Amino acid sequence: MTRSRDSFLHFINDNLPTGVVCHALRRDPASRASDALQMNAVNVSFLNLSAGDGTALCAQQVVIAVVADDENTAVDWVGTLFTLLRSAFYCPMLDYTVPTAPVATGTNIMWDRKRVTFKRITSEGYAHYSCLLSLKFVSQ
Amino acid sequence: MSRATSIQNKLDRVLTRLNVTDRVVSKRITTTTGGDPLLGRGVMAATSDTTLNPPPSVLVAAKNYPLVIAGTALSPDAEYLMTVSASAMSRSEVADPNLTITFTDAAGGVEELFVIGFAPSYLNGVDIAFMLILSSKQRSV
Repeated sequence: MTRSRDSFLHFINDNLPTGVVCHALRRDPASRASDALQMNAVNVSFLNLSAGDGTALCAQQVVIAVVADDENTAVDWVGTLFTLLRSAFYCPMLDYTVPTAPVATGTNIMWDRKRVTFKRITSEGYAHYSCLLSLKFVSQ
Repeated sequence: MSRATSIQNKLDRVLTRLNVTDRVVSKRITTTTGGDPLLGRGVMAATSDTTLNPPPSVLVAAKNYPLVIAGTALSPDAEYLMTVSASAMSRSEVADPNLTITFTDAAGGVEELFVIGFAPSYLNGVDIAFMLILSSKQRSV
């Protein structure tokens, strides 16, 4: 299951313009700061998931949250992500067990590009837009 | 000597004299190297503990139900209020999200705590002490 997370994280991170930070939200005892939304960053977190036996499609919910103290910046980043997620509807699933040498698994991660929408989250002091996507893939 | 420094020295002397904690209190800094920080894979983590000097005063603020399993025993999950001198912890350390506090008892049991909030006491712009709100992360016996 971690392959799908790792691959989608890198898909987002590697396709963002230079200077735009991608922050993965996760519980990590070595990095307590990973647990919280990061300001002026594209925050990616994962929710519900289903596992399979290698023959059926599995699902992994992902939330992409754009948080910035400048609303114009946030809207620009939303536009970039919208273009990215609408222009492609899949990315290759890689095995990042050795992060410096990811290995292709021969399968892809897909999402419904017509369902890419960003909702405004009311927040004081910063602009916050959130997109919930359901990723589909074959678990191995 | 400024008035703020004078007050801080007095506070340090009182805290040292009273030594009110029954456990050794340390600050734990976690540093990471290598790997892929985005994924959290292949990252090597190292911890460094420094005993707080002067020792802080610690007050149990809330005792919750046991939630954390450590070894074969359920561990207590508690929240504490801790007053620490600015000569033991700097403001940047207090605000560092990757810094935790550890309590070590005489038997070697260690309780690790998050800093979930803090309030500084200062005079003329000089930090004298911090009131830290701590929450149990885990306890190993």
